[in-house]
Amino acid sequence: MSHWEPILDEVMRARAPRLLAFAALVTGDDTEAHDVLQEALVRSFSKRRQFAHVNAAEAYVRRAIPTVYLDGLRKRKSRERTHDRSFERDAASPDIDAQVDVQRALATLSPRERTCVVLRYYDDCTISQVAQQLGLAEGTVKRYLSDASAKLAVQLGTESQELQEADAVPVLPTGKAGR
Amino acid sequence: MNDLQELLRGAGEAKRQNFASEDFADDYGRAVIGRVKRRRVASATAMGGGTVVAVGAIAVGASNVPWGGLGFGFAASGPSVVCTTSTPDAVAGWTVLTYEPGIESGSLLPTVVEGDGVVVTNGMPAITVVDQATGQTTSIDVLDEGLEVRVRANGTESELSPESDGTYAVRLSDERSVALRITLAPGVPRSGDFQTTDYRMPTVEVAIVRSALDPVTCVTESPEPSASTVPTASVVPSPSATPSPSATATATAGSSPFQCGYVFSTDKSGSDELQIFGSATTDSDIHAVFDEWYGNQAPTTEVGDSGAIAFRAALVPAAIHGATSTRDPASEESIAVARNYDMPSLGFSFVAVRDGAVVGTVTPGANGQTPGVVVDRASENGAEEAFMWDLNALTPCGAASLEGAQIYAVAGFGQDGTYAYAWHYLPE
Repeated sequence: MSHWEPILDEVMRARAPRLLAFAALVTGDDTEAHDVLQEALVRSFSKRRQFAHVNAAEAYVRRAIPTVYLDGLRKRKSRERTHDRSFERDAASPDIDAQVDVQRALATLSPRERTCVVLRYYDDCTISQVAQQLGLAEGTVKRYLSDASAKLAVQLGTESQELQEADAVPVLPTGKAGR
Repeated sequence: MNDLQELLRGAGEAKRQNFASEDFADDYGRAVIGRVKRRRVASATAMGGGTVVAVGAIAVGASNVPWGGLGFGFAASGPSVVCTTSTPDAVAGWTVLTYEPGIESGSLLPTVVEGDGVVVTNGMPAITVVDQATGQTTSIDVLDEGLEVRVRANGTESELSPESDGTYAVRLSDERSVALRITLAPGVPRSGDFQTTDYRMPTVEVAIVRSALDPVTCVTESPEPSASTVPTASVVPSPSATPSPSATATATAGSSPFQCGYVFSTDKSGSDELQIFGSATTDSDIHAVFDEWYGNQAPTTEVGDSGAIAFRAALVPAAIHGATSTRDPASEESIAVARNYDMPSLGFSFVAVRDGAVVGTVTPGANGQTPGVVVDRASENGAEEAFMWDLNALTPCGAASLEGAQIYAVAGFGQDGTYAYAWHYLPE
């Protein structure tokens, strides 16, 4: 067995639930989460990359998931997916109403908005980190977060998230650009 | 913690619990491992992920990057194209940052292109043009596979239409402007991704090109002997090869054994730290080795079994590891890849030599592949080995003929801006 195989195997056996959960939040679809995770695993292990530990491998795969998802979207723009299956799977969860609400609310966001929100508020990434991960300008990330936060606030009754001081970046006079 | 975070984490935890009842490894493990294996084989064929970022004049040809007074490092045996402009400073002071979307590597590090740089990415890059004088930035999104190019600056966002020459002129607050050439080649299969050939991403090429207002004159000049062709086992190829965020033109011709025009003074050179052993062999021998390494799939199936001449070399000590490719480790492409992987840069390849000078090199194609050449190890502890079973893998330098040329194996190792080289003549 090659040196990378045991680590890949361990990632798939021990870390898949966590990675699938992250992918499901990013994609808003449990089935697509499986597809995205498979592709992220393949990409992460296909090169001569060496992971010293399963933690490093998991972190790398997790980082690849948003990219894989957004890349895939560009080629499947006409695809329509329903999210009913996601909700059915969660029937046994204790706080079903809240979960469904969150998923439904996330589903109303655009893919990039949703990805930014998950990275920012679920993964605790800074705006700069989100921008770097997704290959977006920080101003763009701020715009996505601001728009998404406003939408979620309406649906979930949460407070619209204000950008923290630490998130502030020296932006040009441009500020938030609107379409 | 705010309530949105709490809700998201609650949703994530519920998801995790649901997925915990699945056995992802049993359901998908074999398929994933199989795809990884096939890609790793393909990667060995394609050489080390050189397609992640390809930077340099070679990527687009001299005419696309005609900045003032730039001389392109073509082969010493061939002509040089020198382009000049009446206002050579008109484009100085611009930096382009492109954020590679991480198609192959998963890496998301930005690639910096300055001045005459060109960047080629697989996928849609995010581009930011920085005016070094004022710090002002302009963000450009290439959307929808090139159908839409939008620019954001000064609080506005608008769609850019291409100029008559196909470039996009980006203008900021003052009179200066910078024109970007954003070229898309849709449907280029990603390197090594032969399993999912339908999964294609366009290649996006971003270059700063001069303003259409400034005429460019290019002339062809006769070659001059390279001043840096004195062979040594350890050289610093050229200033442009020094690792830095700046992408510049290609290294000076003939300044490393990987380059056209380099002159070998000895049949073999190396050190205890970097040494090559090798010989001519047959395609049958390589086929047998590959069959053992990879089984009955590519690249084994690409190698004949006819007893035709082929070449095989090994790099010692085996402990040498790095981001490996057939490229010069001092090339911008290798440096970019090595930086992405945070590893030293390791190059291992073959060159054709006539009268002691390099007349042919292995040049990865646009997708980074080098058909006819594989560099790989039998195991993690094995020595890096290079195989060449198809002499068509060698590209002639300019008009040079490869007929009857000698074959050398060449290797280079780069770390912290210092590059050591070794070579070995492989007599037939």
